[in-house]
Amino acid sequence: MNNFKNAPNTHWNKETEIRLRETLTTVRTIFLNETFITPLILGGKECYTKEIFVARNPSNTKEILARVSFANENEAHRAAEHARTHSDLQLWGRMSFEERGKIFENLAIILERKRFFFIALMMLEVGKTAEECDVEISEAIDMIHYYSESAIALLAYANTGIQNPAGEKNYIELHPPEKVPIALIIPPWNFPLAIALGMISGALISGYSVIFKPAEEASVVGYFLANLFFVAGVPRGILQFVPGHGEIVGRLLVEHPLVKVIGFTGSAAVAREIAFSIAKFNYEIAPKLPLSECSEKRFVTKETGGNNALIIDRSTDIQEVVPFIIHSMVSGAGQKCSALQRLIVVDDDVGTYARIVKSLQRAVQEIHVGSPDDLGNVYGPVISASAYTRINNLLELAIHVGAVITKGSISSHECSRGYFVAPFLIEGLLNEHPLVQEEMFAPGLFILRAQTIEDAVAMANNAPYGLTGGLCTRNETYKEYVRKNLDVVNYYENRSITGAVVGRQPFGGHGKSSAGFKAGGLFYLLNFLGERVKSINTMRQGVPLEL
Amino acid sequence: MKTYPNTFSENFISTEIRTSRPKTLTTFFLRLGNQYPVLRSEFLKLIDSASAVSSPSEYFYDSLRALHQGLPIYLRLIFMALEKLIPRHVADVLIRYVINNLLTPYFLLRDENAFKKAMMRFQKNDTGIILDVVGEEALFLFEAENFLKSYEHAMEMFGGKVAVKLSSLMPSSSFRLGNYKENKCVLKKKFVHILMLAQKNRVSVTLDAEEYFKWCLLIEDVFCETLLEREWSNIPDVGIALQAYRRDSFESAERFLAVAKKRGCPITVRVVKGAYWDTEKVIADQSGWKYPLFEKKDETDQNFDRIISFFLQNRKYIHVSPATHNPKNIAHALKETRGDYMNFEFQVLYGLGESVRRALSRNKIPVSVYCPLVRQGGSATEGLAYLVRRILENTAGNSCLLKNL
Repeated sequence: MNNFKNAPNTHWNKETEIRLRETLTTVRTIFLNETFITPLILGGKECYTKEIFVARNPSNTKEILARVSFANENEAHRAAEHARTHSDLQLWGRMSFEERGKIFENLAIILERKRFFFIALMMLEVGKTAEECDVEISEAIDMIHYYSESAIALLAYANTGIQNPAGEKNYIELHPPEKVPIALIIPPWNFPLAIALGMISGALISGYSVIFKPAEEASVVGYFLANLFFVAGVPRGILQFVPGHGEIVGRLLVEHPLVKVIGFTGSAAVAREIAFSIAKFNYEIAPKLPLSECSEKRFVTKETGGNNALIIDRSTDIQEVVPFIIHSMVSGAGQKCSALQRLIVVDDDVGTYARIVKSLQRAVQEIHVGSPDDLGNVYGPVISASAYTRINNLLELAIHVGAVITKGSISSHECSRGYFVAPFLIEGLLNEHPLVQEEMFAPGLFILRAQTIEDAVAMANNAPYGLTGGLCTRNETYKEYVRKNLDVVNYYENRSITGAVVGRQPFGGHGKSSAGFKAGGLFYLLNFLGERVKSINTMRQGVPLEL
Repeated sequence: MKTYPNTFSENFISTEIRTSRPKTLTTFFLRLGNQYPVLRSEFLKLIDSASAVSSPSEYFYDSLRALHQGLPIYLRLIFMALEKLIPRHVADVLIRYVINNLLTPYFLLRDENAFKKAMMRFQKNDTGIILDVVGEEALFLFEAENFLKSYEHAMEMFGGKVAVKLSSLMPSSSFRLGNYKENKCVLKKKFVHILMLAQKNRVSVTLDAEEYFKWCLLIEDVFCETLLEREWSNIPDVGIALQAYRRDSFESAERFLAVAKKRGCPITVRVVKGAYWDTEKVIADQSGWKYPLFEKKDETDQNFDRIISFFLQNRKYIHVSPATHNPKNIAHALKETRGDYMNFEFQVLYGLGESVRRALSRNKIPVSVYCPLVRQGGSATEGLAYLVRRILENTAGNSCLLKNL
């Protein structure tokens, strides 16, 4: 993996600002407008349905970006059939990692060229700020490079463990373990490009045929992303683009007997349902299927929520730590599984807690919230009306149970147009409270108090999930203790606890939030791949004929 | 060795500087840090944490023990002896005392009294003063406002030259890198405000050097565009710092000259080498951006000379102040002045540049001292970043200062 280098983010300056504004206008007028309808892509052909979903800008719900052709049961079945029968599947399966890698190299180049287009697209469809979109595109490019390189590296590494005595030649190949490898990929809307692209390319590089069901809220980005694969040279028959309602199309595809492998990132509740239907399928239906299709279903990657804690103590420099906290808490409007939800202050000194809270309260007042069109805003809207109501209900409930809430402000003009939630701090609840325990997925923070570092770590560990977490301190003893005892899969020290970078901080995996190897890590492809060993006897007439 | 036609050759200046060197504990520490880089990072960590950790000595000794291998025996023995002989709580007090009363005052002026004393001393020696209110980026609006007040106060208290860090007037809470146009508007307003204050108090203002990726080019734009506006096109006492370690610094120099010609009124440029070398390196590395600075010290030195020559050839428009302690660069600049010190002065850092200052003023060459003043009501750690930057700068293996200490 020595050749890998992270793609640089845009250095924002005069020129890039102008370019972004121009792209935004272009995307608005040429690509996205009320008359634009995105199709499904089945068996390499675009097709339209009667069911239309209206994609709106969450910053301005009056702005209709596009209409999306949604699949129904019929199209879902067709997608699975195409995935199995299309001749490209055979072709794709026979390609080596290097050959597939070339196509993905191409994909990375095209994506870099279209960076600003995708920034603008995501700003409009999911309401992320330009800077966040930019980072996400770098992440996507990184994943492409990293996965295509890691496939080759993994294969080589697997073979280093194989012994070859005289007269015998043994080697390992990595392939999908299923007879008809069809993967269903269901990415989330909060990283409509990077996570989607990461999961799809992981499956494709491994040799799967992919059915891509985008999140409803990110269907337009999904359409342009699917096209990207085709432009790069991925055979048209091995990627089906099937936007649709999760409860209908998603469910049907999850239960479909041809779909063997399911990659999912999203809410814990949906993940549980998928797990249930997989188990049910494997127990009830799989044994009755004809031999050619009888392999069982499995979850390949599952990334769900988080309830992440950051521990700070009196030895931190408040000037330094407040930006970390704010960034961890509000970036992406707090709608990240890595977002900070609980700030635990080790209050072993008079006034530490008060000092930190005071600073944060000031900080919250000065966060600019509003449409990402205004490049000065720190974060944009939450994704939907239901998210908006859920968060407001949560706040009401918190007040009801006696919590103290500090809220930032939003201009009423913005408020009336989109789903904007002001940043908030909640004090006065205990860690065990159900409101604190549940994942919030909002630009807010619970501030908790602990007496000692041991208490703080116990509190941090006492919550579902266990995805990210961190510590800000100068105290070396604390550092050692927390590194050993904090039960998270991504630990960050003296920095913000979100913003993992491919190849530097492989993300997720093997924790309470997830299953499988880490995204953006060397072993990610092992989620998909199975080993096949070939052993060849090279003896002829008592002589080894091959050295 | 090349000799210049001018009386002030490099050798001459070096000797002059060496004969006026001060001997302090701080210079001893700096030398030690220069010799053993591992020790340097431990010293820096210690300074960084002394104010925050309850027992700085404890973890200082702990980490020292871990790197005993890299140190010579006599140092190991000294540290071991110190650790055995001095009780922990005494050591803590001692460490804090050394940092607060010996180290910090060597680099920084801690209050106005100290500043006034320094001012009296320097004025006796015909040395000018540039007042710098120490501060880094402001986090919040109220902090930015406090900074503005500090500047106002500094201008009222002291009617000379004031260095202004424009970035401290814009809270980072409302600063988004992508929002270039808006940022420029806000900073322009701040700059105009500063200029008005300066006019009121008859003070001359110089904009300080800043970090490259975030501020540098933005602030140059603000500076140039504002000075070309009609209202501000004829005020002479205004300047900007230019970092010679930037690869694109010569373009900036040309730009300043063009602005000065266009407005018909001279601009002051303080040419420095640049103090954010390590920071920029990390930012560039982590972001995958092209490194904007010269990698080698020699290149920076050459570029420094080039810029000084360029400005001195255009003395009608640019009043240049070379801010360096390097005898080579000083000799070059002196040669280029051809003995005419009109609108020209050297600038040195408070404390660190003392020997250079003495050498220059002994020879009747105009010199000013850049005096960093910790503002009242500022946070305890405010001088820290300045301190760390200076220590890094002067313990780096190629530091010219150390050779003269």
